[in-house]
Amino acid sequence: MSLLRLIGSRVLLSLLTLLIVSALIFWILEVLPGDVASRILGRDATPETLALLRAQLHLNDPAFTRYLRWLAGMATGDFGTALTSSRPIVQILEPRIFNTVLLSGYAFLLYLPMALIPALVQAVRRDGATDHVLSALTLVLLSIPDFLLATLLLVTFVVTVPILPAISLVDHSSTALEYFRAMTLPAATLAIVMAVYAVRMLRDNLIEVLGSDYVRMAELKGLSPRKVLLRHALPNALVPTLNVTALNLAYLIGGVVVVEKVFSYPGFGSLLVDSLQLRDLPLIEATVLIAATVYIAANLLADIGAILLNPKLRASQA
Amino acid sequence: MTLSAAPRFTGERLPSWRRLLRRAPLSFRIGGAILIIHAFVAVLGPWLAPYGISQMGTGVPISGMSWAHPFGVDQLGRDIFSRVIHGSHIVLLLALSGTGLGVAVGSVIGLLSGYVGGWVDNIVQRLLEAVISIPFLVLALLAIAAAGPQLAGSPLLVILVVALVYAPRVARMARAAAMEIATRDFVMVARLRGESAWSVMRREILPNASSVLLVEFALRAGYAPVLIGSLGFLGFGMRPPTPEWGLMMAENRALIIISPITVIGPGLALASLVVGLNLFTDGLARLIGRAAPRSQA
Amino acid sequence: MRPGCWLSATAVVALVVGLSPLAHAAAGDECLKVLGYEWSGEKQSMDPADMESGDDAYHIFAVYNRLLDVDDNFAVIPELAESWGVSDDGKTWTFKLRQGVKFHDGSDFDANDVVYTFKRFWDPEVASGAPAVLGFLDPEGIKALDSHTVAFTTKEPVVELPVLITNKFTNIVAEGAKHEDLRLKGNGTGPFMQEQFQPNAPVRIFRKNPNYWQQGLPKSECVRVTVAQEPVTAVSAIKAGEVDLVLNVDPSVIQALKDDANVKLLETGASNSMTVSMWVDTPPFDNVKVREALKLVVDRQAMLDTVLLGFGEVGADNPVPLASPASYVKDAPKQDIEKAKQLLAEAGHANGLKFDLYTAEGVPGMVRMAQVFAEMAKSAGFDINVIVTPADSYWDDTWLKQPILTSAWSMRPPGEGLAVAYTQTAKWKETHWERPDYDALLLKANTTVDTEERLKLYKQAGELLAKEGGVVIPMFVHQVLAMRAACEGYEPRAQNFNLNFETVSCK
Repeated sequence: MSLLRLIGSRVLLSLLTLLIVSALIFWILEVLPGDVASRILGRDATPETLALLRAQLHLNDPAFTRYLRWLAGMATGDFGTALTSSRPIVQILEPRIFNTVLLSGYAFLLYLPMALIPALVQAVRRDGATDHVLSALTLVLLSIPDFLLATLLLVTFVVTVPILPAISLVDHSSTALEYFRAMTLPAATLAIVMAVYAVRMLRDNLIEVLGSDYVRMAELKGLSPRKVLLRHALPNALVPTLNVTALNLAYLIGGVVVVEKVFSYPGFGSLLVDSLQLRDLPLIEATVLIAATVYIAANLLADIGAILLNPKLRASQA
Repeated sequence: MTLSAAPRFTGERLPSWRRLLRRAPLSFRIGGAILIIHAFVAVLGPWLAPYGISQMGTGVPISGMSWAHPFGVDQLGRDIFSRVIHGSHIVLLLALSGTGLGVAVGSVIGLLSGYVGGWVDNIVQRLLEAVISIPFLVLALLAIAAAGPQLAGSPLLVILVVALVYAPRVARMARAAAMEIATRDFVMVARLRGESAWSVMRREILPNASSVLLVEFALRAGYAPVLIGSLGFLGFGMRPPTPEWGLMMAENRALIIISPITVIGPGLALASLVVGLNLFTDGLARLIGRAAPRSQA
Repeated sequence: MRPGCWLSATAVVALVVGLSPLAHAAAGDECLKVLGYEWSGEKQSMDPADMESGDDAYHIFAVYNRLLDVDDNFAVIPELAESWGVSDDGKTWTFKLRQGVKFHDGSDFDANDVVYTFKRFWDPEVASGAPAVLGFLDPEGIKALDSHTVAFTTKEPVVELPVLITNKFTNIVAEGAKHEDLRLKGNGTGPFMQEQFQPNAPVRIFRKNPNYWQQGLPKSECVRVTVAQEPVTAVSAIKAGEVDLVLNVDPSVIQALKDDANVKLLETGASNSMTVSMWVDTPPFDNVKVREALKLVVDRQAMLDTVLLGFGEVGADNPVPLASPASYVKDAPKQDIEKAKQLLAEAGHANGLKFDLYTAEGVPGMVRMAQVFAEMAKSAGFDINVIVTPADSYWDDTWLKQPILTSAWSMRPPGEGLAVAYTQTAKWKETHWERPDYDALLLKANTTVDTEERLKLYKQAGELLAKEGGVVIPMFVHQVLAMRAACEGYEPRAQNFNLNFETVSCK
């Protein structure tokens, strides 16, 4: 029951955080130079056309009024409409979120073995040559910015060995195979970027756990090394890794702009940056809040996961 | 990339440097050596580089590796190897000062908030969580828009953005450390003596949290060059013609099909720095008696 | 919990999610596959009156027609108007419209559609950017004389009205079409009909218009438009045969395509100018000697060869290309560092001159040009600090707000090009150049019917601007396009929004 209460209070606090986020974003956008009207008209803007467009978009209302209006809409579950296209925001978000969830799922599938297998090998062959080589490799991969990694993969698998498409074109009419092909390069890029962090952490944790009394006990009981590793050491080592994984999830929703840009993948991250550049307030609020919610929820889940995976923590919570 | 792992900490004061060096692990020595080379290049760069920082016409534009131009020549006819050398101090200074500022601000906020506790802590926590939950790209973009065109691409702005991304994450960690230290006897005693919160923090809590903060600094500094490079790629970091490595990779990335070395050259420089910083951090953490934390930027 | 469980659970979830779109069929692969390079996201619109970015041209110029078309020399070509003429006082232009043209919804095209299209630019509900470039028109003077004749009566004579009304905004929509509907659903007379379009969506598909007024066109059954902003991605895509036509190839990646037998490169004429523009009323640029020195430091050919790798032509500090009959010179000014130094000393800056130059990658190549310019000016004693600002906000936050910056203008007919940024009444006074004598030359040209006489006036204006004005125009950009070798028939136009996909066919 205390777990439920914990979740309850965390959810309430999260709502408060989201409110702060929305106010913060609104306030910053108010202060910034340029607004959605000047962004829509761009170079063609003249004072006369700007005034017309501003009036049409109700940008002349007091800032606070506009915020309250937006907030009232949100409270009733109405995300509102984008200022740039006057389309309902839900309609704009839906395909992007679908694409990002799909890409994230695929990336996560690739991420798990990429993180687990090297870490297990390294932990078992601790301080051996394999361990050092893998350590060096992860360190080097860690230092490659994601845009470079994405471009390298692109050139390799599109130009040098032409087996995958350069443009990750997907929309509602694409088949599963097209999705699969289109997403392979961006998903692989993301999986590598995420796995590099997890591998290093998981390896250290595994080594720590393998040296613990708890694992020695299991070994003394005569369990096979494989069983000890997979059944006893790994779950314990996963606890701190869960946090990294949660953070990776947050990265997938908002930070993948670079990868989306290189592969022209129509995901949520580029929508976030595009709307920010267009100063389209309702759209920015919606996208930032969704990203923030995913971050908060992922952390909450990681905490709950940690409690469930770790008997000691479970006891202290009871 | 973002964010910190679960805050962990141990609270002992730093042992003396001489004792430390005697039992320094291998990773500390290798990492240290790499960093010394980088520092050397950073300081002596202008004398080492064969060509000027933005000297054009040094060779055939868009050409690959050669003895005269180990990293090739870019589209504007600039020698990339020279630019990498010239950029060394920029990358180091940006990474270290951005991280330094972030860790400093984050530590003060976190330690105070953790020590004072109560409603102050609650409010600070909510604000920090709000800032952390906004994707860092959004933060960077907003900060750069707010700075206006005059500050675009100035090192100050990049340092501030790095600090803005790091500070709340460091603060969370520092807070956890402060909360633990605050329960110890010597803090209680100091408080009973009637010392002010600020003085307790400065004289008791900060020294005891220093090892945590030091490792936190080294760890984040190790990722800062990549973060700055990614900012450069998206057009939110340093601006041309600054020879910042990430930016150079971004500028030359269109040449990757024709002469890959123009991109891989600066990449090697960046990789060696990051590897050095990370090995150093690993060693440092082991040296002062705590497991190396693995957190993301 | 075993890791095996984890993995398989994730795998099952992913499989279910991954298979769900199986019900849909693939679309657009049989079409002519066009790859664009500009992206305006949620502000994409199918309404021609909204056309602010190149991205919108990809769909608008497939779906609609204008009254006229212009070639690269700014000669007008009939499109929906078959013939035209001007009254003796030069104030009334009449256009005879093509008979038997139908909109995609089946309704007939007539004079009322033209009148409606133009008048709605001034409708506050439409809030279009067009009035800024159509200021010479009088909305009240646009009238249908009969079902297929339209008259434009202006307050002053406008000699070049046909070419001036042929801009990016003036595609013809059907009478009564509402802004909020047009945004999403185009109804034009153009070669292709909207099949799939939504703002911010990755794929746009347009189907052949079976009733297109031009016999034998379009040659492709359909067009699929997608966008890739990364040059490496675009090059990879055409090398792999994923797309048929790449609308813009960045100079830095052209080398990767040159030896590819499966790809043809197409080059346009002058497509836009590249400028360094300064305020002539603000120190130190208020001194004409400083301005002249800044024009003299540029080695134009060298700049062209580095910044654009030669894909362009040199300019002579006025918006008229050297090859145009309206150009006052045939050769570009030569670099003269000594003279620049001397002028700088005479202007009182013997010890050099330091200033900030603002730029952004708002137009490809601008940042590189600024860097090369700064480097070239160094030898004459200029210390130019290049400040690169974010591209997305450049035209909004920096342009027209800083005393010296880089800019670019898409090609216009000489009269408009000389006027658009440099007259006292210009909407975008990039250089704060206010010269009644300059304006008088253009005004006179505007009302001079005799072509030779008019060209002479343009030359005088061009020379005045080049000698004393606040703009350095070292070069004009040629767009480079890449087409799969198996395709033929694309005619690239210098005006980069003027796209004609209907003539392309691919094997």
